[in-house]
Amino acid sequence: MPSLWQHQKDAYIVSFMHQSHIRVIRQDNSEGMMILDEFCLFSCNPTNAIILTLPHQHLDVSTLILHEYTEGPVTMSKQYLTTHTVDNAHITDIFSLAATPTAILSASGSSTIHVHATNQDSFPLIQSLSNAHKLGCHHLAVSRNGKVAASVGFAGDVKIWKLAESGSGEWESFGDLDAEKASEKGKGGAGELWGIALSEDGQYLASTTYDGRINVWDLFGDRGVTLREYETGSAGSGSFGLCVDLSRDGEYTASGHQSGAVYVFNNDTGRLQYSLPGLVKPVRAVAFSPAGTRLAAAGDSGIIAIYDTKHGEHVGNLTGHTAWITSLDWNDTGEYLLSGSFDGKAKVWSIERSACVATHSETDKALWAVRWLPKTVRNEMFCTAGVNRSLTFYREATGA
Amino acid sequence: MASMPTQDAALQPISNPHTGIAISKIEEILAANLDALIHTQHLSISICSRVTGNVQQIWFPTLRASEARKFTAILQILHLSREALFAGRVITMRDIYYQDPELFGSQQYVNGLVDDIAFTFELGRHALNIVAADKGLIAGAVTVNFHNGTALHCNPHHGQNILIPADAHAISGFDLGHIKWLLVIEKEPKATFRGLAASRFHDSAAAGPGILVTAKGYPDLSTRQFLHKLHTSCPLLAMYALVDFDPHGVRIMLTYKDGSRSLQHEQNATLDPLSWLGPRSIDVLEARMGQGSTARPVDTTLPLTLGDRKEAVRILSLKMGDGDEAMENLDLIRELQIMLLFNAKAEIQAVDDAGDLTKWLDNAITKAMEIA
Repeated sequence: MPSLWQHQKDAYIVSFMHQSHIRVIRQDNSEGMMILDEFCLFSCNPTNAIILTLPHQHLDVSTLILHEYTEGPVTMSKQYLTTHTVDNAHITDIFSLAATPTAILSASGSSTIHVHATNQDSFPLIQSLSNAHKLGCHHLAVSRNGKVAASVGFAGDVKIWKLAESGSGEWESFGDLDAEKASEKGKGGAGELWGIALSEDGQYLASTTYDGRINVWDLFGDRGVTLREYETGSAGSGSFGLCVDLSRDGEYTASGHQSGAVYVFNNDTGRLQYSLPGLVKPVRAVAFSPAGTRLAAAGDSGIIAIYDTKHGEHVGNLTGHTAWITSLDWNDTGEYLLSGSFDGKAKVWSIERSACVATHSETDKALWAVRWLPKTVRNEMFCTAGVNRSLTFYREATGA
Repeated sequence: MASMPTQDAALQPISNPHTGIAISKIEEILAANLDALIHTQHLSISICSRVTGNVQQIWFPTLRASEARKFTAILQILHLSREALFAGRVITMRDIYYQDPELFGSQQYVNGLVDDIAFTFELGRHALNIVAADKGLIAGAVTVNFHNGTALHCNPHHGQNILIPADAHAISGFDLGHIKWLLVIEKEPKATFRGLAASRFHDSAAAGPGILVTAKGYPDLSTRQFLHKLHTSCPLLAMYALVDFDPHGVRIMLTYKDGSRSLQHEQNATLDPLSWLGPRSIDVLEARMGQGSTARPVDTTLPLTLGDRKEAVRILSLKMGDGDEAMENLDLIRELQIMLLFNAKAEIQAVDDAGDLTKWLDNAITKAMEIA
């Protein structure tokens, strides 16, 4: 029901973007339209709770919302500004991003992985790992300490990289992972590897396969065997594992599947910890919060589900995306969650308020990856990439 | 030898520039074997395998029944080809099979041997005056003219099927009229080629009159050579492919475009200007996401099978062989990568509107022609 309500002073416009979605826009004569906030009717935010009690046809939210804004509009939203865009960072879609404290690695449908410095204002290209994956690369992961990275190509080839010990900041090859060769108990290999995640120190790598298996490998030990192998269906017939994450302490592995299923495994016991109430539709991103107490999962349902990892309970949904969600990332403190979607929107969510606090859309083309940059300066930054082949960097606005 | 079933009058007489070479190659083999017979030696024929490129000697007599059969079958084919060459007549592989079904056993056996013989002679199948059985269908207000003065009007009436002429070399030219585009369609069933031809989409399209073609799956050599001839005669005719959004659809489109891997020795069977109309990932995924005008109540995509994924990776490997080539194929590569990423495929029908493809096609063809 897209409709517009215009304030008598022409200062505010409230637009009903979607049945569950309200956008408040301020019209500024010099800078044009500015999105002040977006609300989700079904979140548990007090303001929205009031709206929710009103029948849709009588939605007289104008005064209500404007009142909220006169009271103190800034408390609701966070402001991020585009600080830099590296245009055409790759020759084709950027499928994955991985951020270290000083650089961002990007992978695309071409064979080269690029490394851009994030500690310099112009975000210069500092290294290109050419011919990394002949058929293009769809997943990248980097350890929290920024020393080990891993990448997966469309041929199922997995490469491991490490930061040069010389301190030059250059990445060098650290071998590969031959998933086909690493057959455990004669099961004939781990199958086509798809999603990957690395532990905090880069020692452990978790991976998913086409046939729904989840494997954990010791990259510093014998790469010819898997430490853990979890089945999510009868042998070799589980649902495609689209995404995986390791908790920072390495205790848990979580996986999201094409069937909509979400699983949490305990790496100490080697057992399934929880089979979480899934999202019915394909799950394209799973992410543990920094403290490991929450797990976020999202995908084609357009909803971000939040689970409590201690008890395996579904504790809430973040709604507001109107397209498939392709990527998720927690900020350093675990207060905010970043999400990217198929319609080009990046959203920042407040976990405490269970609400979207910022929406950005530099492009209407799909975002395949969104990542926070580890916090090294006062203002938090994040990067988005996708079909438009560019790296777009955002910085939290100061003085808010 | 019984006389061959006669072909369409339009195919006679044929002008085959390689007739002399083909006859001399065949007679060389026949003469060598006649010589061997006179000297009571073993008979043999050397044949190159198209798969391995190795030369194999087929002996007769031999203790192996399969080899004896192969020798006899090859000799029979050579004999039929020689007769056709002398008579200036074209025979189909189907004709050959029906000469002695008991000997040949299957149509595939004949097809394989014919292609091996052509490969061994380093000639096209056509140079032996042999063509595949008619397979391709065409609909559109185009007239095909033949060297013998006859013509074929390709605008079907009352649901009749118009076959693509089996022998492209017999064609002297085309009258296109106002036709600006040609659409190659992967499949024939009623929702696709047959439905579009019956609703006269080739006359009523928003982009103006066009031509519809299908070879019912992987295209045969005759259809590809016909299209190649059409393109070289009318280079401005825009050519689009409508195939399923899956690795086999892509492979079929590439077979029209680049030729077939097992028939690399055939000439004039490629269609470089062919461009992929769709459905593309964007059409399929947006339809599934239920957004915009293409929203639909049910999911029209299916997950890729393991075989689909392997095939997609094979095509990617083929197209990303070297960097320069990859640049040319970026668009195709991207579509395959997205297919793998979303693990989704869809049939052409995924973009129809309650069984009607014309709305989507009108939009897609018009857009494609604007870009070009």
